[in-house]
Amino acid sequence: MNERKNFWRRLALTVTLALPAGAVSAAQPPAQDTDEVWRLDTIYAFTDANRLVTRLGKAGHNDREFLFAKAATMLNDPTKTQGNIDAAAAVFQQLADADADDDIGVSARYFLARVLQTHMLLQPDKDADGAAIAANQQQAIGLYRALFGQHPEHNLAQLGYLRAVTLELYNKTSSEPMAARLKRLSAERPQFADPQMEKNYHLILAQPYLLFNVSKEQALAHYVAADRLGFRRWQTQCDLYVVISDLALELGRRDLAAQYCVKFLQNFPRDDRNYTIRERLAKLQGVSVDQIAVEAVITPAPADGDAAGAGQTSTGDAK
Amino acid sequence: MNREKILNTIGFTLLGLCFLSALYSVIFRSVRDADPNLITIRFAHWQLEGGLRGTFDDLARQYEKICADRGQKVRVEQVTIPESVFGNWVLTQLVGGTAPQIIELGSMHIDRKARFFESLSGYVNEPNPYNAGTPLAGLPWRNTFVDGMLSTYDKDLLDYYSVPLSLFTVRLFYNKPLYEKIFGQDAPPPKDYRDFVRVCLAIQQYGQEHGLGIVPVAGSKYNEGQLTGRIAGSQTQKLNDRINRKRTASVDGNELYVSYLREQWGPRSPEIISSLRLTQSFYQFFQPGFQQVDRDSGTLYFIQSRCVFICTGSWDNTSFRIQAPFEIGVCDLPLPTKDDPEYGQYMKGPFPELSRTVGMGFGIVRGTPHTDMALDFLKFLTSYRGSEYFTRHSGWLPAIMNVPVDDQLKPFEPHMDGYPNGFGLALPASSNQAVLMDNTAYLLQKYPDSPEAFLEAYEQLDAFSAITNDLKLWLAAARRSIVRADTLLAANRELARGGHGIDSSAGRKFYELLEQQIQTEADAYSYEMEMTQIWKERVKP
Repeated sequence: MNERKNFWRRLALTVTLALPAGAVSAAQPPAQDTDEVWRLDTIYAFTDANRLVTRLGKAGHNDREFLFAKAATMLNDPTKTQGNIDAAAAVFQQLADADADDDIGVSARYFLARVLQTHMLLQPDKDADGAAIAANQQQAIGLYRALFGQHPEHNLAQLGYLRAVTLELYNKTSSEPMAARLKRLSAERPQFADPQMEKNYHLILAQPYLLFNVSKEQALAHYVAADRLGFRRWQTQCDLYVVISDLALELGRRDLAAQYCVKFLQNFPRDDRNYTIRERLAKLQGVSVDQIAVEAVITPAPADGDAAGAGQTSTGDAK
Repeated sequence: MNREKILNTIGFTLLGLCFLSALYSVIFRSVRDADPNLITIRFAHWQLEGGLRGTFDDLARQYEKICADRGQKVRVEQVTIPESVFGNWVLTQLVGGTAPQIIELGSMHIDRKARFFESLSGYVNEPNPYNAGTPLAGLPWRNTFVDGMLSTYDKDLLDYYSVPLSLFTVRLFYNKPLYEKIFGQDAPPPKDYRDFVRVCLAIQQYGQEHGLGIVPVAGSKYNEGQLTGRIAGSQTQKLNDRINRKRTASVDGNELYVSYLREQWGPRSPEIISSLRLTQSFYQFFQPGFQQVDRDSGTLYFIQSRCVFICTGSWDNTSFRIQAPFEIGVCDLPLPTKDDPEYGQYMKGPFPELSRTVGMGFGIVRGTPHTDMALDFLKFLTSYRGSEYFTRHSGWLPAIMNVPVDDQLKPFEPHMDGYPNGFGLALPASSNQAVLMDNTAYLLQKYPDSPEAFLEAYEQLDAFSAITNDLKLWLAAARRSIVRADTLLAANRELARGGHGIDSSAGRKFYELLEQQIQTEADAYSYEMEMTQIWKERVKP
């Protein structure tokens, strides 16, 4: 009796396993299928994601969410051809034409600009390609700005604005001095609904103020503003605590410098720059470096979703 | 004839025995694997150094016993593959679907890591249950590692894919009886560069006076780099500060490239000449022809007492102690001091070691059977008690916080204080420029009294173009990364939107990835703009 039962069980299992994956997925609701495409993308399985897109397309999937996933996945089809990129752009265009203002429509418009900015197969070294890149970038800036103007609440539109600022800052074909670019762009004073986009805006502006020797004060102001909005990567946080304390020290803002030295030591006691920062703090407090007690003490776990690695340990009090 | 027949019989008998043995193993394994109650965990690594495999076997048996006490029938198998073929072996196993559950991850490409390995982010914030009753009880798993698992966090994939087991430092090992024979009972090892030079000259003199064929330091292409590569970096510590325009107190490869193109430094910079001279000053103490010697031969030179010192990492500690018929001493690398009349002016001081020393990370292969048990085994290995046993028996340093080390391991404990080390003329992460160095570095050894011959030959080569091409390679890689991130951003945003919002794992990754991509993109545009300006000024005046 048991053997017969096992036989039927095995048969049922074999039949289930033998079913083509496409047949199984076609039976699932479309949203789950699209989520599976996205999931494959998140683990860099672009080949599998593109295969799934093809299979789902043949099975008749054509809702907006699926088409958006299809186009975004095609951008990273391992067979990198201009044809694939053009096909992806055509799908984005189709989505934007159908409805330019819903979430998918705004996202598709963002990606249309993004394709122009970074995805076209052009060689920056070749003169002819160089001209085409510059023209595409100008067109992308226009699309980004228009999108942000129309949908300032949408985070991809806000991101588009950040892309436009980056392109204008580092435009190789412009003779405008960096200081003038920064002044012009800073004067726009955009409003961001998403604080993380605002933080990235400050980071984008801070770096050229520093690297191109335009204004250390402005660089510092933007870095501090970015920190107040919260870094998401501990690598950024770690580096910028060092930068802020260094700039603040040079600009005579000793309290701010000391504050960021302490923040660094509290959050990254085992970083290779620990001694450098302890020395900086000692100088600020007029004591010897040995008097800056840094004893790694493990603190309770930070909340889930905290930037990985950040805040996992703390120092003793910096005296 | 009769003798030949006997030999043939012996040969065929041995062959037959081997066949039967192999047959038995295959059948036994099939029978064992067919046991539905038995869970087999296999873990693979390339660490063939002495003492380690035995320790892993012991830990595997301990884990099996713990599982048996819980009523689970578990078997843990260790798979050791030589380092030279490990990468190819892993790839074959992963693609063929026959990979063990746990694999040591070296510098694996992110595509493979993301595709084949489990993300561990969901587990690292939970306490390790095997730490119950220890000083680490209740702490999140990642906080129990000495570096908080920062070193195993993949900054491209924004996830953890491995847990480290050990940490490594580089030290000078010495033949203690031979050293004491030359310098007297309990003579201290050299404490800095000048002391080391004095000691090495005395060893050379002793060898000549006593007709002994001993040299001060065992050299090989591998061991020489361990010693001079680190020490030469001391000469560019202050230069580092000058070219660090981002003011992070840590110069990245691109800052080095751009600063070279901007002529902020070059082969004739006093700091670079000083680092070359310092490197050359060690050559006189290696055996002749050391650059043609491989790592094993260099080790043999030391084991055979044909030299006093050898420079290598803590990973060789146990092997040396097993193989060497003499007591081994360990001391720090002989760095110049800040008041050194010749090499002190360009350096800031000793360099810290912790952040780059954690390693031997193990990951879990996605889709293999019993991954939950594999994870549990990793938790056992990296528990306080597991690490304590590992450290005591393998002679390797623990990656786990507060695990005590015995006196023998104390000299290997990483130095926490100091200033980030500098760089050498062979730029890190460079390829084109490294070829120029490879083509000319022999002149540093051929004319050890001065780097002039090397510098003349180096200057004949087009380092400017080589470094420009290296920067272009980075830019191309950055563009590929930016393009890929676009799809990932869309994917994470949509998953967060459709699922659990921005506080979900997908939401977290969206913002982390965005911060990273924006920074990479700004860097790429910035470097490209600078490179274009420099080329306009220098190449097309």
